[in-house]
Amino acid sequence: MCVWCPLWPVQRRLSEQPELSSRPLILFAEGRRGLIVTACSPEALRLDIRVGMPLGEARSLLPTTASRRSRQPIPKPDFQRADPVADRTRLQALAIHCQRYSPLVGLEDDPAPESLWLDISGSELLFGGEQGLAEALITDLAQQGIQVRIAIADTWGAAWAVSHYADPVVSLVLSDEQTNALAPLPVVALRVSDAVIECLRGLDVTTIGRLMSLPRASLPSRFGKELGRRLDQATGLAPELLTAERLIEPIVVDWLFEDPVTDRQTLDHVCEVLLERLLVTLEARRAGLRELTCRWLGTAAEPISLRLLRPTTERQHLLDLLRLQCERVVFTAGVKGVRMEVVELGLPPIRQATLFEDDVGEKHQRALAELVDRLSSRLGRDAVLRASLQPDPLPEFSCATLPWLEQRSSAVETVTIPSRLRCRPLRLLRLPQPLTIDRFSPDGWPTQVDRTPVVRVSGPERIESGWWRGVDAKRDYYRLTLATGAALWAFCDLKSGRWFLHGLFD
Amino acid sequence: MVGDEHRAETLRALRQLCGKVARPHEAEAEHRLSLGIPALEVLLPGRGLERGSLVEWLSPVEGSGVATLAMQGALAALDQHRVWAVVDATGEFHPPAARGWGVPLESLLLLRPTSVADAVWTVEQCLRCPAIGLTWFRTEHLSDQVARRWKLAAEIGGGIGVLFRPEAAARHASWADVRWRVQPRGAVRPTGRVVRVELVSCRGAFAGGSVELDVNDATGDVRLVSAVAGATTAVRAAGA
Repeated sequence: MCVWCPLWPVQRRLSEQPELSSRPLILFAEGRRGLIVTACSPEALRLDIRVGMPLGEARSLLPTTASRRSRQPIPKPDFQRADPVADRTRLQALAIHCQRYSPLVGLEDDPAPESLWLDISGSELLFGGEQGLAEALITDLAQQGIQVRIAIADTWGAAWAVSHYADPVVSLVLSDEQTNALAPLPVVALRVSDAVIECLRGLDVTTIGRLMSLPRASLPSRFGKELGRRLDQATGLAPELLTAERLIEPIVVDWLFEDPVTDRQTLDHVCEVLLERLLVTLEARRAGLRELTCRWLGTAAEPISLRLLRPTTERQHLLDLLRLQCERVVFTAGVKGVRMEVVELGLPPIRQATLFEDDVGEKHQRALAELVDRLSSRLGRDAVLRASLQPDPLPEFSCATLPWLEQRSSAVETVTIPSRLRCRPLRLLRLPQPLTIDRFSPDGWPTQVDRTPVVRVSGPERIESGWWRGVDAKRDYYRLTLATGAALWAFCDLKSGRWFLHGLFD
Repeated sequence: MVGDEHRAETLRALRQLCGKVARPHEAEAEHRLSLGIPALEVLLPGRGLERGSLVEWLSPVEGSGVATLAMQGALAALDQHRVWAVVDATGEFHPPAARGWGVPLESLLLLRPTSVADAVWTVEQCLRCPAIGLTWFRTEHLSDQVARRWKLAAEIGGGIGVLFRPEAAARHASWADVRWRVQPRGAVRPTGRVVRVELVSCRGAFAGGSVELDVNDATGDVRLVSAVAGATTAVRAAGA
């Protein structure tokens, strides 16, 4: 059985945010030439917005006022950035949900899947036949706000093709009629690349029936191996694998005390024992620990959350991290029990033993990962940061920081000119401090700051930006060298005429 | 003749032994780290820093350019995928400026502890880690006990610890291997500034040497100021 959720990215958003259902929804992503539309709702299609269109063009198509004829208010369109990872995750959750209809449910083999595959052999009897099963599934998903089209056939390929390109919402393809069901469908239903489709159209081979009338042996040489493989998969001559989604069993271990405990040593020991048990389970699954929570039952003490830079099974390292956090927990009442749960698993890094010496780079990477784990464990994730440049002229927004434990952004780093950045101070005050200018030169430059003569002034560097944040910044930056030798980075706010100290060239 | 040669050999061996007593962790010259400023390296034994050293930079005022000078040797310390840890308790360190001086931000580990105890612990952890090539920290007060712990941690980790302290700290003894004092000079250049850098103390070498450096703000060049050269230029410029 193939269950197709048409326009899945749009349907997912609408099922999660029902208030958007009456508004045109447009999803966009980075394309080769800027932002492009990747999916849009039927309401947006009515406005002539199409997939692949530049986002700017899509915006220009939106009507600004109600037409005179209709005199109806135009619903405000909603633009959202596409999130393929969230789409896939929700579809995986849906696959798990559908395991009540079949024990084997998986996602279609596509980078951006929209369909679920269910192996319903035998389970249709529980729903009064295949039709009953399909109807039950449609009703169930409709309650979640998801519209689907379903086809049941002997092969995944045929079920996919019929669900996508046949008219009925539910199609049942009998075993001896599979070829007939496929014949009128367009060749696109075979899931082949656009290049092959174009080639077939050039030869006026528009349907699968016409394709099947061609000599099978000549297809690979004329159109490549892909077409023949897909055709065979649809007709059942070649196998196609289903990778079923599995509900991961949570890994939880706990320890209940007979009487509430407040002794730290006892709690430390219990944590050590529980961690040992977790690691045994992880070893059986050949997985490493990425995130762990430890709760103190029967007390309001803050639970411990441990997140690692990379998955590990190293007992001593994990114990050290746990102890670092445990010693900071304040227990106001006795602990009735301890519960440890693995939140996230991962593959532990594979280490290949070398004959002589470890690779220094790898050794340093390992040491750094352990250090970051330790620091994050004690200081908190938000205190262990990596920095990245941002394309913003305002100094306070020119750099973004991200917890080191989070994945590095794949965005391309901002291209910068080093000499320009060298004009920035190494110390930038969090908030600009008011600066007292005692005297000005006839040109309007400061000559005395806080009773200290200014020996050199360079500038100004005008920065006007930030109108989209609400408050526009208009500043003239100067580098002031005082008689004491201190070099300041100060600016004159052009709107108020006041001077501020913003940094120090330390 | 044979006796003289034997005596010279013995003296050479004794000199080496004395040198090792004074500088127990002396590395070979080729394994020393560059400061990025040749004029300062001349003042150090072996013309560079040993791995596992603590370096103190003292300055009389904030904004004296001391961090810019310390930055010159940063890249040398970040070899073999090592990382630069900046323990920034005030949250004022501005990474774009470091990028301007050639340090890739991928190698920057920015740490923002919220208490003094956390900051001290963080510096020690960074110094102890072999993956950290350079650890920066700004502090006014430093107890002997903490400084000693940091020194031992740096020797274990093999990185360089750089401490920025006010000039008043020069009155107290230090566990740092090298201590520099930076004094901004009155001379004003159109492209930068002049600072006097003095070697206050150095393990295994005589202190007291000093140089005047011309720091170009735009290009980042740090050059030795030559008083004679300056005067000649002035005379020529005057048309003499």
